[in-house]
Formats: sequence, C-alpha cells, structure tokens
Amino acid sequence: MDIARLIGTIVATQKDPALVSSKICIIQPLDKDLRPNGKPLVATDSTSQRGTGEIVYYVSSGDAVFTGLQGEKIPVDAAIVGIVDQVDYRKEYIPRAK
Amino acid sequence: MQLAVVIGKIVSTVKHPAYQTRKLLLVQRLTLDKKPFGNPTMAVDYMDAGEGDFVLLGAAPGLASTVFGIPNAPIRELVMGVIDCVQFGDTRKGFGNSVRAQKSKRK
Repeated sequence: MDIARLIGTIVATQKDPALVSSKICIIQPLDKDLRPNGKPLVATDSTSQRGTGEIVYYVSSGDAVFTGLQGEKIPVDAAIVGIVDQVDYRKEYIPRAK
Repeated sequence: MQLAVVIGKIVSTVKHPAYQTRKLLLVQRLTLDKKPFGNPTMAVDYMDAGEGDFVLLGAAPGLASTVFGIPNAPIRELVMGVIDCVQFGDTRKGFGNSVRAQKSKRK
C-alpha cells in the first residue's frame, strides 16, 4: 500500500458493467514527506468518501481486484482503500547508508 | 519476504472494512547491508511490531486473506515477523532487535 494525493476525478459513462457505481479518480503517489513522487495514475475509490486534495492510500495490481462492493471482484489496476488522517515517522529509525 | 524497518505509523479513520481494527505502520525496505532502498510503504501489523523494529515484510496478493481469514482482503504489505537477529557466515556484520545484536553493534 502506498500513499497518494487525490488530484482529480474522472467521469466515464461507457465502462465495464462491474465498474458501475464505483468512483474513478486521479491520484499522485507521494513519498514519506508527502512530496509528489512518480507519475499520477487512475484508481477507483472503494471508500466512496474521497474529496479532491485528500491524502489517501491505495493498493495496486493483484489486490485491487477485491475492492468491489461486498468484496466482489472488479477489473481495476489500482484502488483507494482508505483516507490518511496523519503520518508520523522519525528519521532516526532509518539506517544511514554508509 | 523482505527485510524492513518500521519508521512510523499512520492514522486513518475512513478505510476499507478489511483494515478495521488493524495497526498501520510506515516501513522502509532494507537491503542485507542495512541500506534503505525504495520508497517507504504502508504495512498492516500482524506481529505487534513497534517503531524502530527490524521486521519481515510479506508482500503478495492474497497473503492477508490467508493470514487473517478474510476472503478477498485488499492488503498487500503485511508485517509477518519481528527479526531478532540477522547473522552472516562471512565477515559481514549482523544486526537485529535482540540484546546480543545491539551489544555487538556497540563494540
């Protein structure tokens, strides 16, 4: 699971019947200091409570298919599974590269 | 399975039902030389690991479903064990959480 910021939404009328009623959005992966890191990607939202600008966490590839309503399988590549309230970390726990 | 160190924790209220009542940790993957590589990721705790602990990180689809007994859990990274000690057969220096490993680090 990685952290990302929600930067936009996508509206699609023609889509796979399994994706009906799931929300589609654009997310920008972040590093531990919440700076953008990597390319933005498209993900569905299993929490259905997202708002633009929020920090979320998502699963990709094999795990994302289980995020349909009532655990059913949906054909997606990345899915948001939660909204981050707070990230706490301490730099001294990261071993220094010699 | 990979070596990792717990560097922090994440608080989240709105989440997928499979994540309910589980502790969320921020982990940094390590090479065998204790060097960090890659970006820190979030992992679900299964072993009561705390910050600063060296842990074993399991990352595979379907792993969490087997461990927690929930069908179709969308959890990828899982803390599968707390490392007491890493030792090498050659001259490389070991490391770990145990008292012995910390003593050898002090020398």
